Amino acid sequence: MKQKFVLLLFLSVALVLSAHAQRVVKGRITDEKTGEGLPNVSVVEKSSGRGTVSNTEGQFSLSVTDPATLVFSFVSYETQTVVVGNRSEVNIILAESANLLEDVVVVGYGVQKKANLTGSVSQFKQEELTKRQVSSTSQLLQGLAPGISVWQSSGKPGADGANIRIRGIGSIFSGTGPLVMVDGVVSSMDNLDPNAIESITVLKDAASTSIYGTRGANGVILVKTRRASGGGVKVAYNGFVTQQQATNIPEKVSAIEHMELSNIAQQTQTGNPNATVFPLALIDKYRNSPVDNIEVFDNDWVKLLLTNSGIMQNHNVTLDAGTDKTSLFTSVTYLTQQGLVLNNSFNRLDIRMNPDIKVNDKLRLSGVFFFNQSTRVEPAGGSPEFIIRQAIGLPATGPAKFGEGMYGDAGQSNRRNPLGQAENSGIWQQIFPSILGKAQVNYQPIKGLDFEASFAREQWTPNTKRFQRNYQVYVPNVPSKTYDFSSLYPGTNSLSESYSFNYRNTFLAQASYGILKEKHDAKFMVGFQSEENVTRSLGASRTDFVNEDLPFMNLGGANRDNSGGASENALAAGFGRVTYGFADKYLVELNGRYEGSSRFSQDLNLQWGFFPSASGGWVFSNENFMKGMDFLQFGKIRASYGILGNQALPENYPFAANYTSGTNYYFNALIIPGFSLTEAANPSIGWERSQQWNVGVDLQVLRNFSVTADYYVKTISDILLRKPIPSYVGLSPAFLNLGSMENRGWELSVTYRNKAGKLKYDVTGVLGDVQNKILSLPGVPYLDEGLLRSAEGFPLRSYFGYKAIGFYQSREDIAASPRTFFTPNPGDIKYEDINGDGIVNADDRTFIGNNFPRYEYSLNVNLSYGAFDLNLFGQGVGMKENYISGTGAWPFHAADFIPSLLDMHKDYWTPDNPNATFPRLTPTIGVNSTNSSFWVRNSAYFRLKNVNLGVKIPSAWMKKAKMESARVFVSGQNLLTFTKFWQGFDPEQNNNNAEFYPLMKTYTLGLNLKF
Amino acid sequence: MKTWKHITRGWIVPMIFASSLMSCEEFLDRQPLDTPSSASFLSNEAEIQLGLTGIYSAAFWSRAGNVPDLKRIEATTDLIISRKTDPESLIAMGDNGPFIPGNAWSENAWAQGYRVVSRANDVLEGMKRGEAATAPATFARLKGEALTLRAWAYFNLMVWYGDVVFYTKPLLPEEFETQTRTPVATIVAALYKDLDEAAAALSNNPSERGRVTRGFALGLKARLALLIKDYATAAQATQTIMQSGAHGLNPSFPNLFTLAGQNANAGREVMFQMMYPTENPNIASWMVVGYTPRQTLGAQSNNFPTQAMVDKFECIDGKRIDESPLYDPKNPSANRDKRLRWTLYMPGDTIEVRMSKNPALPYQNPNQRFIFNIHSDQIFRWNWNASRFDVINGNPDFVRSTNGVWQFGATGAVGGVGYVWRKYNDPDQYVWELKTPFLLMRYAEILLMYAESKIELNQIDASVLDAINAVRRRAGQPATTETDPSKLRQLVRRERAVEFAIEGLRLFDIRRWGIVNQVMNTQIVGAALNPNDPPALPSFGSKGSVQDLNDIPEYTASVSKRISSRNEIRKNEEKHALWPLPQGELDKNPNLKQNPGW
Repeated sequence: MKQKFVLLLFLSVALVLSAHAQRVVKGRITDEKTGEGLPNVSVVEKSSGRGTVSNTEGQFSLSVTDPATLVFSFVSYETQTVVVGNRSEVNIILAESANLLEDVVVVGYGVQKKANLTGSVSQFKQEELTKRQVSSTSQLLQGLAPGISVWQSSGKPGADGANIRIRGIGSIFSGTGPLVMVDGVVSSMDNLDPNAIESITVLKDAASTSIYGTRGANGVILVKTRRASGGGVKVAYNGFVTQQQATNIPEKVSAIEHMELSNIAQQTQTGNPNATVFPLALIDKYRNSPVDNIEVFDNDWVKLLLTNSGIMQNHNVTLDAGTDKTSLFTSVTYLTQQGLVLNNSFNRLDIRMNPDIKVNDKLRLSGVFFFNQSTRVEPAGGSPEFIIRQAIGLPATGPAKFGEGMYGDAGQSNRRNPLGQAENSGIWQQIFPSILGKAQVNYQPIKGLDFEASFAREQWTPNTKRFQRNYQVYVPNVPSKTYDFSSLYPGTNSLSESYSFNYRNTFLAQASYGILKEKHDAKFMVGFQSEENVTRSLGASRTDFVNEDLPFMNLGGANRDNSGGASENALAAGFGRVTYGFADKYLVELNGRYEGSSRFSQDLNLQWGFFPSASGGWVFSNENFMKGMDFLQFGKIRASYGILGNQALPENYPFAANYTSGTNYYFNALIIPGFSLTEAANPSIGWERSQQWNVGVDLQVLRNFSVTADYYVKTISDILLRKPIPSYVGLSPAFLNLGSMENRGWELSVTYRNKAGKLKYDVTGVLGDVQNKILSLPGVPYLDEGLLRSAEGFPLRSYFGYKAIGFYQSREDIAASPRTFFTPNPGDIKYEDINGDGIVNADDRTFIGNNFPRYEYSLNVNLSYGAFDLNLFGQGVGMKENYISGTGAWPFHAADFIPSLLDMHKDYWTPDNPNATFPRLTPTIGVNSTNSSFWVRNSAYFRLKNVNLGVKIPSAWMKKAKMESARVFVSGQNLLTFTKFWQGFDPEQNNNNAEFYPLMKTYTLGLNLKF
Repeated sequence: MKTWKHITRGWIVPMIFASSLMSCEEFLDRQPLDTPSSASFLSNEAEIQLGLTGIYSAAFWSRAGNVPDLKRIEATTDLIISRKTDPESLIAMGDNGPFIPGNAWSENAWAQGYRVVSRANDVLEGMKRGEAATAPATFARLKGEALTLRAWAYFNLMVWYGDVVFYTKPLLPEEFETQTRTPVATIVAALYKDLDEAAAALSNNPSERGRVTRGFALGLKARLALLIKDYATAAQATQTIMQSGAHGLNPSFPNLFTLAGQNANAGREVMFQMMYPTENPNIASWMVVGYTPRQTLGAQSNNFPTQAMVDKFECIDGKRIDESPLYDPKNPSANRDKRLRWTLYMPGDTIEVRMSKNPALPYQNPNQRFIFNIHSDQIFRWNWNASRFDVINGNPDFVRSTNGVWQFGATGAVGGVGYVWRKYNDPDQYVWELKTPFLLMRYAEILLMYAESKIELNQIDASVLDAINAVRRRAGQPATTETDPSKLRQLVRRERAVEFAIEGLRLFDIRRWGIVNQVMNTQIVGAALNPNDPPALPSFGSKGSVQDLNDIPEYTASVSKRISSRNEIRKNEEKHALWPLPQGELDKNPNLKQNPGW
């Protein structure tokens, strides 16, 4: 770079000498946002056309002829024209272009200018992705663009990645998640640190995704990792420390309340006003004596169990080094995250190296090397979710802990104590190493023609080890005020380990050719891709380890077991694309992919399918008749149509009937292996098909206002269903290509950018809706999955049950009401006799809600003022229902332990409290737990997802510290939530039965350094 | 650079394209790697054996809590009260449960039965592929086992649901939704043939314990016959077994319910049983854990005998308690049929159970021994070190306990009524790893089925009395010389109730005897609240009434003095004589009709 600079200087001097009235103008060009020098900005003198580019520090020097006007331009930045006057130094601050239409967007197997796109595509840059501090990258997509539904169902360390659905749910039983490609290879984005990502592109419509054929039906997410800029050595450090807390945990009742309410429940149930479960004498004792942990207990299990720090730390170092010939981008990240309960944590180390070698002008070699290893730790005795459910469900009267390593029986006859499980039951640990290598060669024999070939292999070898040890259960000895050892729980220690070996080979070869001639802009691309996935696994277990401190397999007892398995699948495809643009006004694109999948029958010739798409665009702002209308800088109308497939079945060999191993029996008290047919087969199973129409418009109004809007209809047919078959068939049903459904939706995204003095701001509002409807389920009246029903004319997986219409208020009320399928008592939930036949029975059930988010919206505000910057990000769902059941929803309910109830349950029905929140209090929920609208609640919400306030350290200090820049920030996630949903439960988490891991509210302190 | 150009231009690119288009066919041909293929399986003896084992696996009915299903289903009858919220308890309570379609038991029992049917049909059809490669006798035996297991599944389905869907070949997809219910009599007639074929091929004494025997096939035929009151066939089938001499009574009744006793199978009384493997601790019966009272450290009691069960046992003079001068209300366990104490523990009995796997504190002995106590707040636990009973305060089974756990004890709001089971308790085995096979048929039943059939046929002769008396003799009960058919019928019914308690026959019996409404419309009561203030004797109705002839006790006069815990009143109507078909089956196949009243 230095040489170049010297050369430039020399040239400038030469120019000064050769022409009279010429003089040198110098200056520095900086980025408006970062304040750093911008390299490679083109500087052109308007009159002469002479020009130069800025160096790595953003400096330039150019000889000009007075009076001079300079034009500064750079891709994706706003062009500035400056009259030099008599200045010899011109310093320029370039602002990023609000008109991102000049941007280049990553699309399937290529890139395209955003202005020329004819499909529906959203792209996010690194700086948008690093505003939030989260542990799983998938969470970052929430609210960034319309049509992308993102929700988190767990806050558990290492399992807190988000669910992503693009334009609704695209299948019933096959895969519904988008295809995620990282650098052209199927992978997970949660393994990546956002600092190593250059961009994420979401392909939404069929025109954009049909090039991915059988895997594009649910949308495609393309992640491009960073590559070195080829301009010297740049080092950056990004780190943060986060405190996490549960967003919501329900509040429980005290020991005395638990006993009193138990008695009330018993009295309600038996009709005997003197019935007790807890004798009054005992309750009096609790009232009159302090908690002594011998006879009188009052344990707040939530407080006892949620004791882990919840601290998360993330440290990332990137190194961008090299020249324009050879360069290397390196990123190293270490993340560590503590959970809410003890022995629950996650950490991840990843190392990425992306080298580029330009052999000559025609030949480029590039590669990806990525190593990633994560470790998840959970208590062996019970999942964190189960421990949390016990924390929510256990009565305060249960003895918890008497001393170090001395646990009470928690009031449970089986002596299972969640505190013992969390603290002292051993650990479950999953170590997940994965390694990915990719080598790519690009060859350009002539201008415009590019051959590309690459091979990538990702290999991952997760291994899990669970050693459950015993903890000691003690019982109070009341007379002596001591504790007697009672037993070990669970009584038998056990070790199980499993290993699996998995790899994915991806091979790609493609050729593309582009012609740019006058008004014609045409590109052709053909390619071939194959992929195979292979997995093998091995597991073993033993019990009765004599020494619990040595949990290694060969020290175990005689009880042993082992298992193993293997499976594989493969895909092969040829694909192609033609794009043609005329005069930047008329755009046409054709895509197609011919693909074969090993999941379908080769014998019946069902493996191959063809998936084409076509799209067009009209940039009407470039038409002559629009000439005078300067307020509209850009306007484009798009339309597309395409057909896609979906082969992401949960099985690898659905065409074959399965004999399942492990149907063993015990002749002579030995385990004798058996094999059985357990599933009906359908050899003629085929692709699911999805077709999609999309129309859209992109507008750029003035320089600070941009709008994108889309409307689409996605029809999915030949849906693979396990059409439920009567259980007397004795087999689980086979997949059949049946049924169709539709996702109809619209999307709107509006951005406004402006500045007022030193205050710069941009606001992006996003709103979208998708409505799902099942069009047909031939031969299937409906599909039931627990309380969810899918039926023709209704959205997929809707809640189905009775319609609750308050409570029975009295015997008279019962007598006056329609008969019902149960014998009601006053205070029971009353259901509507929908068909009016005088009896409430199964025929009166109806659709009572759906939990797929509708009317999703978000508001993203960025402000900067001098050294300060602020991001505010709110996200919400306008319509959604959620069903809550089980422990936590119902008083005294837990199928597997002796339960208590929550504070909110105190508002139960009595004749004096006719409008209570809950039905009459009984020892078991009984008939009131029937699926009904009573337990379905509105879970629409608006959430302040992120606040990030940063300040830049003044550059003078930086110079002293020999740093380029430094920024300190504080941020918070999920700080505020507005919802009408149940107290203590998170509206984002669906079908809650209290066995959940809460989402996190976080507070972060972070640092960005550049050297 | 020349080399690069040469390589790239010369062959890399063409090679890549060429190779990629080749051999797609092979690349995409992926077959299952870790399971056998359905097209060729069952084509030799070893594979047929694997498939057959799969049928047995489907008949390992132990769905809920590692307790044999048939034992749990027995809790839907009059002789058991189980933990209040258990689905079997809801069934027992009838309308007061409420027992509604969707009950976990009635739903799952259906699927469980048909899983056996489906696998048996698949093996019976598929094994034809292996017929040529298998010795004819072996083939016939393997087929006989599959036929018998299928009949076993249908027998249970019919007991539970009445007319059921009956098919004997794998269903084709187009037949899935077209099935209808076949009358019980038709099914039974078809199963007779299957069982005759099976019996001809099966061994009386298979080399591997756990396999169906010839005697079981014939005994099952007799049960099917009883289900349709075809007493002639039942008599004939049982007589064939009796005459074969392959089976006899074990001299010791308690030995039938311990692992060692069953291993010996003296007299070869055990004819069919559900096995447990010794090598895997997780596959075990937890039934003893499920009824050991809470005063044992670590117990999980949830299933208890009722007073009606206790009062079925005669006094040692062979008379019912209300008829015998030997019955002492103050000491109700004295002078009773020995089977009373072999079947259950009464307050004051000493219980010994192995609650830990290894020697455990407080006494460094894996076994706990204690005096079953419900009448004071004390636990009497044997101190193995000092050889005496330690007295510990805080008895969770105390009928007036102040302990919060009380409600789940052998007494209490959701617990039992003062009695706990003994049958299958085996102090030599760790309760969480109990491996004693669960009996599904034993010779005593053959004898009683024979007697019952002959009585119903009015062919009462010495062989009938011999059969009954053989069973009674072992229990030390005096031989009967009764010849009045209705009195003999009463005696056989009483014998079945006390001999086979919790062995899974009670539901079958009360349904075919038509006494469901009589026994299942009552309040459940138990032991005396105060042993010093004994409750009045129950009434058994007027002489010769249905109540009398079925030994159905009635406790109105003594409820207030008995443990009635949760005041459980059972309310069974006509419709409760059969379980409802799962609603989902009717929804999926409109040709199916629900049982009456549901």
